[in-house]
Amino acid sequence: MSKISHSQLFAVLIGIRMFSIICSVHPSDAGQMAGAAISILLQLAAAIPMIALYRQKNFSLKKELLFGKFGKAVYALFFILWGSVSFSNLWGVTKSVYFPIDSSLTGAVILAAICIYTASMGIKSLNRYSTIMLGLIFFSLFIMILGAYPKAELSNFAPNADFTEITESVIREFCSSGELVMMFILLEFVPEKRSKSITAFFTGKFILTELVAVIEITVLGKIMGLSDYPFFSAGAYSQPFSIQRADSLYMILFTMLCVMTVTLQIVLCSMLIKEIFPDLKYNTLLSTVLMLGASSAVNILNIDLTAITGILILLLAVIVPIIMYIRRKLKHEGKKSDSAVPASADA
Amino acid sequence: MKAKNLIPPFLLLLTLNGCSGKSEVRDKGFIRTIGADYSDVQNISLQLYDSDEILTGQGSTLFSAIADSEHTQGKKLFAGHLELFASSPENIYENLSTLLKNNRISPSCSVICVPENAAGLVSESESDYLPELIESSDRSGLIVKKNISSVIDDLLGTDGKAAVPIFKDKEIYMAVIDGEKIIGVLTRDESSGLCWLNGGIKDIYLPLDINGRKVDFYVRKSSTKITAEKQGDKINITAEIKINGNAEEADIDREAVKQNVSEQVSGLCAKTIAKTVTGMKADVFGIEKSINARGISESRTWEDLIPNINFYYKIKISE
Amino acid sequence: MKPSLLKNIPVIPDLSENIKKIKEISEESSDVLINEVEISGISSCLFCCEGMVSTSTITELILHPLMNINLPEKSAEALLSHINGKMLLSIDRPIAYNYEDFFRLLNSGFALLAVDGADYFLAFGVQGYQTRGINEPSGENNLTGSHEGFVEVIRTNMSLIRRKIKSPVLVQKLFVLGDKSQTDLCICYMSDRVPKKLIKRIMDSLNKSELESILSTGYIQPFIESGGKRIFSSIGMTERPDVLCSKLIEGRVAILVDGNPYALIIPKLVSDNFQTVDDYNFKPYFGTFIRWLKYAALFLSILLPAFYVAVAMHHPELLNSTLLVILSQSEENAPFSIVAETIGVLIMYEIIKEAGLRLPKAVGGAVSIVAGIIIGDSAVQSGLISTPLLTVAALSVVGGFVIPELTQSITVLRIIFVICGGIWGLYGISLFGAAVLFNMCATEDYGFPYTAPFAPFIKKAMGDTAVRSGFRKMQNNDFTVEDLHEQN
Repeated sequence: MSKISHSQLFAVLIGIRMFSIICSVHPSDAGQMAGAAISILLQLAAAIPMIALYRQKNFSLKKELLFGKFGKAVYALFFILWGSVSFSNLWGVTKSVYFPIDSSLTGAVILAAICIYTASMGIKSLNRYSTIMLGLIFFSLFIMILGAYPKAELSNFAPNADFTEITESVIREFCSSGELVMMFILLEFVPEKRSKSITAFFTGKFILTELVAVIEITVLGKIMGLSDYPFFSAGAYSQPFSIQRADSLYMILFTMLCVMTVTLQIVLCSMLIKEIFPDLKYNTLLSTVLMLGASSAVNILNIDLTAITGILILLLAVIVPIIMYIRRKLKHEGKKSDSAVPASADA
Repeated sequence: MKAKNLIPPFLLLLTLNGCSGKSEVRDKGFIRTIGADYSDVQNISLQLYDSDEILTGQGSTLFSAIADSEHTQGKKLFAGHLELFASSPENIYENLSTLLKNNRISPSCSVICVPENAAGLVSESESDYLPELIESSDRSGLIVKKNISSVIDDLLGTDGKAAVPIFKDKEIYMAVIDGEKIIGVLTRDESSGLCWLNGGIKDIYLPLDINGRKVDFYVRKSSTKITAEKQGDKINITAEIKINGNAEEADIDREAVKQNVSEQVSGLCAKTIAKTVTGMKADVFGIEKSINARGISESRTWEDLIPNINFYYKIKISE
Repeated sequence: MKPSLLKNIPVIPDLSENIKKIKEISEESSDVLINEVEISGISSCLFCCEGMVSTSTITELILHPLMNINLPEKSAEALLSHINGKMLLSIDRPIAYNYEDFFRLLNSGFALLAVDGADYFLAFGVQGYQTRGINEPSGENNLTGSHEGFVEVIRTNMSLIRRKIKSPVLVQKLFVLGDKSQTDLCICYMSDRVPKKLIKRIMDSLNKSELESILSTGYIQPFIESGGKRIFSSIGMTERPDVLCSKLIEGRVAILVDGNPYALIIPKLVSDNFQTVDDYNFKPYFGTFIRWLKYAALFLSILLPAFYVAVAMHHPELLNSTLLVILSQSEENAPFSIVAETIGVLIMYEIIKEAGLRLPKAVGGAVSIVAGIIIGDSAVQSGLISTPLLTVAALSVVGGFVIPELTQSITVLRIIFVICGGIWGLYGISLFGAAVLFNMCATEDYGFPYTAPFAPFIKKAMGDTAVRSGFRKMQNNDFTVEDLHEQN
């Protein structure tokens, strides 16, 4: 896989995060904002073992024992799951926000076809695409803020939140942070300034989350409870003309970020599948079909994936790096003491 | 024949067939005004943009009634550009939330309550009449123009009530509704007071009586800020109204004019509060929001809280 | 006989045999002039190609001095060493040892002297063929810059570049490609700014071609471009020496092809399409304004018709009521679907453009009148096409004129976007837009991403892409394209 610069990693992760924000169905309030802030802080703390691991000399994820075939399969499974979450998000949005396609499945299949094509271009083009997306995100938010400014009522913001609300928000926010797992894998391909990239990402994530929440709260007020997707509703309410509705414009941002998110999952998943089964062909197609299938199953059986993804994120982005770090540390200590024995014997 | 050779004729077919049956802009009728009455079923009258034809329909829900009205003409009706929704008070909340959830209605669509025969009013009036009446009354400071989102936002408040313009006896006033019925109608002065409390009055003339002399005070612009403060059991609500304007006559005592404007505006506000907040137990100018915004946690019910609210007015006039 | 095989046939020290061989290879072609003559008592022959040499030059500078030679020693070796060592008959005097060199020089306008007993030909640069004068480039007009454009003669083009960059680090290397056409090509670069590795890679790519002839830059372009199905070309073209020089100074490589007034530039970046010479002559604020206007024009030309179709068919709520009424009224009586109508108008425009382009200028003007007044006006009046649609199509087409280098991509993308917008609305436009963006991001040559300096974002290069900084600021920037190079 090609190398990724630290700024490209930042752009990729911010793009993935922005997609989660757009697809969020939970109404924003003070509790959610506080919870998100705490959660991001905790995620930063949880990323420390990851950073420490990559700071070690000669560390390579590929060489680690935990990253054997079984480990790779678990990570691939996570990416399939996350890809299916993205497809489910698309289905949810097509049902709630006006989408000019006859059926949600058609929409998902077209998206999948495009993603197979984009994934075939490789991670390098995805990295560059993410930089352009970063510009589009800033531009969209700028337009949204401009439109929201005359409609925003600061009095809609009530700084009251109870402990349960905040706790729920912390957990919910963590469960929607699949980008942590992607970050762990992608860091392998970042040659320098990894810590800088991660710090910038968490800062950006905090600003984005809180900014969108403020817009939603001040613009929507109590109507937020009625809207299925607060981001789109905020877009609809922030339009400049009286008899007009501009939320469809945010569909552009949604779709382009959706392509980026699914493409990344396909690229990472097919890369891992190829490492597990080197002779297997059509990895990209297989990954996409698995994602679509998983998404269909989730929709038909009406399964809530939040808990499963939460546990997987905890396992794959926090626990695995910690175990790897401890293992390497112990190994290093062992080597040190081994080399110390003959030295003392000589003495 | 290779599969890719089939692509051009397929695309040509799609384009000539209008893309798999998607409706063209000429096949759509764009609804401008809806008048809806509810008595067991929805009876509606519709006015379209660029057409004098009045469509009527009946159905169990608003959208089934709209679909019913489509049969009278060939076009598929589209409500995305709805400018005005005139509704009877019954079922108004349900109708508004249905419209909003449809996700293609502009949140800025105006709402007016018509106690009797809203559909009839829409079908009998010119297409411009009601939207322009609301617009001009709002501009003159007689009513507060309300749109779908603001009415729903008010109805979702703790008090469950909202102030909306009402068309009654061929005149326009403000009324307080609770989503299903009218709680009460405000007088001209009370409606005007509500306008001051909601803020944003501009470009109007306020008639004053300064020592027997009739004087016009020109309000260039104004803004209102509602703040809450807890004092023991009581909550103090202050309406700070900033008015920028001047008397049209030059040779007049400016202090007396300011005094008079201040008294008149606070008098109008007091009347409104007495009728709406105290009388109807309605939060019609964001009392709850200002309490919440201050982070004041309140366990009392809205009904219990109202007797413990004190209202103060700060009128600041600048030229 | 294959021209490459001529390399293996050496010149022999027998004049009559050599003449026989030349006649045999050229099959006594009428333009090969063979003048047998005795110089200083030795049988000699002067070869030249009719129409390729200047008669007065050859008479005054070659024939006259040669005929006056009278050496005591009557040997080929003595005669040729005298001509080569003691007489400066022309400043370009290559030697041909085989028939490949002989015919290349002969057909390039050289006069070649063969002497009985010598196993090589002495060539004299006496070119005198008719060429087009240096004119203003027709495709890259400007207001305030130079009005010189490249011509078809490669050496003239080389001189045009050299006149602007007099530094010795400007390297211009001639080489020959094309089995039959034996076309002269010239690779130009600044030796202090372009890594030798890059030049080697480009030359290797070119040498991989097995073309028989190179009649235009388009013949070699696919060999230096990276593979894969890319929408946008990553090789630039210019017919302006000043533009080429600015690119060379940025560390790019140029390839000139004899017989073509266009130079190829490697690498090309997306931002290059929006830069013109005038930008650097205007005030920076105006240059920046013009540049942003061009960026907007690109989006307008590709996406405006598609947005129009998508909004009219799927998202009418995006329009305010006044615009909607105008749109609805105008489409009321149109007989076709809005997508068919839009594609029809766009294709009609392309046909008219092609007709105007290929016809003689006088008739081309008539085509414009017929197209603009008769077809356009009558189509609207008869209700076949709606006025807003015609306005949108015209705006889109005019927008495309602002970025002429991207015409090919814009034309095709515009129509595909209309189809996507018609079928799936903004969703379709976004999806196809994402695919196009990915394709664009995947385009790179020799490690230079086409989307640079936007993606990857290079802050240093923003001074001449996002804005047009003043020269006071840019002079210290020391920017070269090597700053955009992305490692694998």
